Amino acid sequence: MDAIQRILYAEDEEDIRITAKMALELDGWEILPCNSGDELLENIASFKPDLILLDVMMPGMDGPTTFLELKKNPETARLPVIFMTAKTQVREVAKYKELGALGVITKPFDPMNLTTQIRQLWNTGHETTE
Amino acid sequence: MKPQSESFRDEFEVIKLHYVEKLSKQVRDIRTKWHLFKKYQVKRELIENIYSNVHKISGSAGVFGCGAVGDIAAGLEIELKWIMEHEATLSIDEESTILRHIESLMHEVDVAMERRVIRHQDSSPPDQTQVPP
Repeated sequence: MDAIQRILYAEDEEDIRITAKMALELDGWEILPCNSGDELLENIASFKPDLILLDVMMPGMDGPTTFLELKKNPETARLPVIFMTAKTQVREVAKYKELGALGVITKPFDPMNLTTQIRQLWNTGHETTE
Repeated sequence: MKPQSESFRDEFEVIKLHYVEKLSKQVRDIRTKWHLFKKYQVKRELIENIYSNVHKISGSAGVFGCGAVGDIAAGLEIELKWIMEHEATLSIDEESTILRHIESLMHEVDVAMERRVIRHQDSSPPDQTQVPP
């Protein structure tokens, strides 16, 4: 895995989406925020992300369904995916970690600490894939 | 020029204020829908909608400095999920418990809103139109 440069991010809640985007851009990462899983899949080919952040519960295509769609396509199957979800749903997402998601960030998150959390998960994934 | 992180903090404060204002409306909407749910027992659509809104609050409130609101929402979310999964007919006690949670949620949102408004007023520049005595 190379360094993170571009992150494609799906989250339906506007305030969270704006805040996370602003926080992640502080580190110089390029973020493309999307409203839903469908929108994320539409943008994936042109944006060419290094990493995908997926909210779990979204109207339209939710996070887990989007994740499974990514896995079906050989072009996107190996893209690292991090789920973001309320702490009450972490147990449900554990099964997606088993299927290959890089990790889970629980909400609420501290915006000032978000890049650190992502880097930690990225580095852990890097170690395990080498 | 302000450093980027300082500018982020300023913008974040504005988003927080905006968030709390929206939260107040959302929680009142949840209460209205809960009353409708109880009255008409239109189970699936209403309870799913209430659950989805409570879930959002449970995940987001803490991000914007309303941790107590998020904690109450998380408890409520678990109870609503149970109702959805079991399609249960609620006893009067169970209904009252949920209503109590919704009322606590409203109270905490009001407290958060008051705190934010006071903080916002404190950080606003003094009103230049006032004539000194």
